[in-house]
Amino acid sequence: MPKGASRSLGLVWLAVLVLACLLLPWLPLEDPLQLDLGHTLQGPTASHLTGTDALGRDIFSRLLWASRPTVLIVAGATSLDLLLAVVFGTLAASRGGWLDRLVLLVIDLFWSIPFVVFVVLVVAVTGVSILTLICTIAGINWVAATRIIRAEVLRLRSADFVRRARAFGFPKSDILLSEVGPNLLPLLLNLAAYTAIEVLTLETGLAFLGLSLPAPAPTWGGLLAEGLSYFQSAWWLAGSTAIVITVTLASLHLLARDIESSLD
Amino acid sequence: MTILLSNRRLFLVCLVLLSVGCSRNTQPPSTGPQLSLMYNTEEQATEKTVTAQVIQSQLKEKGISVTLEPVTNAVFYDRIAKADYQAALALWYVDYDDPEGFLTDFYSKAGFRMAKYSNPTYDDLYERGLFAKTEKEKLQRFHEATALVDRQLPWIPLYSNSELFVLRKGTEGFVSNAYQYYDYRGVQKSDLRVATDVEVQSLDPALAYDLASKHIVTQSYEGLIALAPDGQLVPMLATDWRIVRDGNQIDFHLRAGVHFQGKWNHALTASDVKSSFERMLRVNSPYAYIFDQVEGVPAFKEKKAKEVSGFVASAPGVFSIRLSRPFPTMMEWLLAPAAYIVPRETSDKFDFTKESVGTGPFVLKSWDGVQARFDANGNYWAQAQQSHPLPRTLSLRVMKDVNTQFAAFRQGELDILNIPLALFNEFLEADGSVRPSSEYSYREVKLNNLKFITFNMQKAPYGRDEALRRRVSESLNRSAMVKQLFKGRAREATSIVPPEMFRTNR
Amino acid sequence: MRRSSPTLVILQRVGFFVLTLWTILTISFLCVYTLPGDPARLILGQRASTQTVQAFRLAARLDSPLAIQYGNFLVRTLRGDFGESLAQRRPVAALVRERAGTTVLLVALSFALMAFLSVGLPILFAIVGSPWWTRALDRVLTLFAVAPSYVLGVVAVGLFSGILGWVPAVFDATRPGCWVLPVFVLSIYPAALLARVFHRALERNSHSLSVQRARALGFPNSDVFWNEVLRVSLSAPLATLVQGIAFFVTGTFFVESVFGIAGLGGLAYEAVRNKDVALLVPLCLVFGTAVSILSVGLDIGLRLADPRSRSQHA
Repeated sequence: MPKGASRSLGLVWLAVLVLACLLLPWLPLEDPLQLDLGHTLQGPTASHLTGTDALGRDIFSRLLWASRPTVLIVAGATSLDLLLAVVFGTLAASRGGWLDRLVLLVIDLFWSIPFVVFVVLVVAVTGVSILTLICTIAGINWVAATRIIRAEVLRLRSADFVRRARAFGFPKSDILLSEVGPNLLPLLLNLAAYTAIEVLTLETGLAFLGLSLPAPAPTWGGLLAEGLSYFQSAWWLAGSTAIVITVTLASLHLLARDIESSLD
Repeated sequence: MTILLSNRRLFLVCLVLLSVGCSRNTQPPSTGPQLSLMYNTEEQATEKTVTAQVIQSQLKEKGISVTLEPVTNAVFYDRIAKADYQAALALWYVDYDDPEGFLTDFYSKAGFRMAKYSNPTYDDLYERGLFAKTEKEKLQRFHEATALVDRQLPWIPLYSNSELFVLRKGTEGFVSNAYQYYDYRGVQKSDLRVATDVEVQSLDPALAYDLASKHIVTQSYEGLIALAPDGQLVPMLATDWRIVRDGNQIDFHLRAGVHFQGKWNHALTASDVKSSFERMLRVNSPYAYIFDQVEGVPAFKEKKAKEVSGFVASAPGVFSIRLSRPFPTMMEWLLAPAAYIVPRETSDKFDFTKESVGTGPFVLKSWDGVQARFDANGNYWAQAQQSHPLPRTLSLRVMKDVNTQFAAFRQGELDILNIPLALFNEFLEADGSVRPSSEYSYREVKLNNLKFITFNMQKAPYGRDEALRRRVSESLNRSAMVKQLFKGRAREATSIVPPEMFRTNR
Repeated sequence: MRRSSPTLVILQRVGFFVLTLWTILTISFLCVYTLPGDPARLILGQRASTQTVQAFRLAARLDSPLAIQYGNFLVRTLRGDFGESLAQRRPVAALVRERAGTTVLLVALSFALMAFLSVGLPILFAIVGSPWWTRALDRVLTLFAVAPSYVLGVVAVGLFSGILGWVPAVFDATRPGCWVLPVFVLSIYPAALLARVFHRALERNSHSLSVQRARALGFPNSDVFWNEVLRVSLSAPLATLVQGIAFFVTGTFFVESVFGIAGLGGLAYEAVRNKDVALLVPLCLVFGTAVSILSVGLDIGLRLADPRSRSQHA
């Protein structure tokens, strides 16, 4: 597959997704909250493109409406995640010494604690909302990106052009912003795509545990968790959601790969 | 690279627009009453979620807007304990055939109360019922108490559901009752595999009160009496019993020729019964309250006495319970698994997961946390009464996931399936009738349980306004729930106590 | 960089490890004890009387101040006594021992499969001399990896057990066929991740300066591959693997739940459900220690593989 085509496919899907979320109130969809107990778990028909769920609601419509909180959470958590990673990663790498050790210690600890306890605690105390989910997911995931950014900043620090700038007497902060920064950008983009993948996977995992937005207005993960109970009898519930999630993850993958290959 | 960056910029712009767009509330503000309904996502998740959403939709049509609050198990009970909720969707079930089980929540002196309802008239009726001298008077008082609560609606009863079993060929001898006691003695299949869908907490009969633990414990252990499918008390380890001394004492004649399984395989005697009951009190069983009316129990609980004077093992074959006052409910309460009999040598710390030492039909061979394996008890006392031998082996497995249950049944790895709600449409037609099959048959067992909405009576507006609660109750369409959600495998509940419990043939 | 004696370095590392363990213990303790809920009421149920609940709380010392409970716990753990589960009233050590075997085997097998798929196969393909296979493997793995592990698990159970009947639906640790799906589901995502990283590293390093120089000097291809390309490339997946360990912990949770495997994941889930503090804190410690040890092990492996990476970790 030609490189350009795969990149475009990924971007196209993501763009369509975002557009759909924006235009949602104006799209000609069935009411996602309208129960129809007489027609539950029906397969795809003309009026219900991907069938109905256990309470007779139109799955296609629910899926589209669920995209909003999902995209918000993924975008928000990814941004927060990378922000934290850049801050702590560059701090650790540029200052070195005890700060570096402290950040590494914190990272190690984050690996070691089973996140379920942490998440149950936070969710129990703060309740579930888009904001708390963004903070919680970013809070779990920031360590991965931090380590990578730290490693990259370290590498850049010892790069020739930086040494030369230091030799010329430019202040550290200037170097950081003007030299290291732009070189970090491609890595950041790559990380963004991978982080988005992790965030989406985490969010669906949380929904599986019942710790995401509740019915009747769930995220994709919530819809998936709902549908999984009916998987063997009415596969289209979980199936359509799984397909949408998979396509989105695949698009992000393609995007990430594309950025990677332009990095090499 | 620049193209990518510019795409990214476009992406970011879209993101900003998206956040703005999404934050717009597309739903108009509601003018009617608001209700926030809390439910536990770790107990019967599918059924609760679906019921909650149906309730939300039904009440929306009648102008009441409902916000759903699914929470985890620990949070659920914590918020109820702290009275930090408005309304909650819950399930209530009992282990014995007594209306008292449904009436405790409203008694102001009970331990854990959901509704925090407080009414001296009710308390009076409840106490007079509990300590009535005769069964008839007891039922009368309880009936009045029920009527009072049904009128004031601290709980809104919704429905009582049924269990629907699919039975493979050969397992038709399976028996279960309205209180979810499962009896496999009559099954004519030599290797029986069954499942439960919740985690097992303990294999100690004194500590087994949740469904899965009960399921396992009732295969190896037995009590003095048992419950027949028609709701009658029938002899088990006691062949007959008499209430004497004006209701202050119950004498039990113990069955002869009953032997315990395992290393203490001596015959059952009255001292085993006495020590089982005392052990149950010592290990802090959740059922410890059932013996509160027995003479000498308060002193025993406070460690002031070494034994309970009210448990009398006068002769090896005769066991008596001396009560501090007449207490007809005592007989019902003895049905609880905590009152099952273990050998007197069983220590408080005995490890019930390694072996079973009861009198029951199946002997525990192994327990690995997920699966219990049993062998038939070769020495089982009731064997002579059975026309067929017991299943040679029994395997009981925890299968929480619906898909695993279904896959196992389809593949023939499971012999009896208790059909979960999510699989109803696999086995039932749209009108509720079962899909006939040559490989298996069906059994529906009506349960005497209750699905209900409880209000927090300490919080306004619902806790203070009976008319408002009644409006919620009358806005619900129970018939639709029962017919469409459960395909008819449930009964509408109009009272907090299932009417079957007030029947007269006791 | 100052040259420190090897013993000092080892002591530092050990000290760091102990510090990590203590921190895990303390944070787990704090997290667990501040979770909402009363273990006594959760474990004894709604009908138990207040008297029974009080007696339970007394016996479990749940009402004593947090600092004292923490101190008790610390002292007991140092002695090796992990206490008793509040819900099951059995020693935690026994519970963990019962279930650990299955979980460890699951993780070990998944690790092995992951290593084989992401590193072993590409090396094989490189030796055989067909890079196209590596790329194809990469694509196939990614295809599987886009689905979260439990989705894959449920689909797998539904398809292979329910519909096709190729694999038993009920997990039986003694039947090898039962292990296929859980191990595959658990390992596929990290395998895809690592495969991608390794592949990229291989490609990048095959054209690095030192390799070109070695080839120019006339070293045979295989030598060049083993000495220059492989050793350097291995550091990339190893670095990513540290990330993968945490994933294994959480992935085990889901996989054990979906496949009904009697392992530590299910035990932890029940402990959270009941707020069984006595069981939960030791479990967190077990998980944390396992992750720490693996992390240290990987770190050592990383240093051995690529001396340049020394600067990347304290």
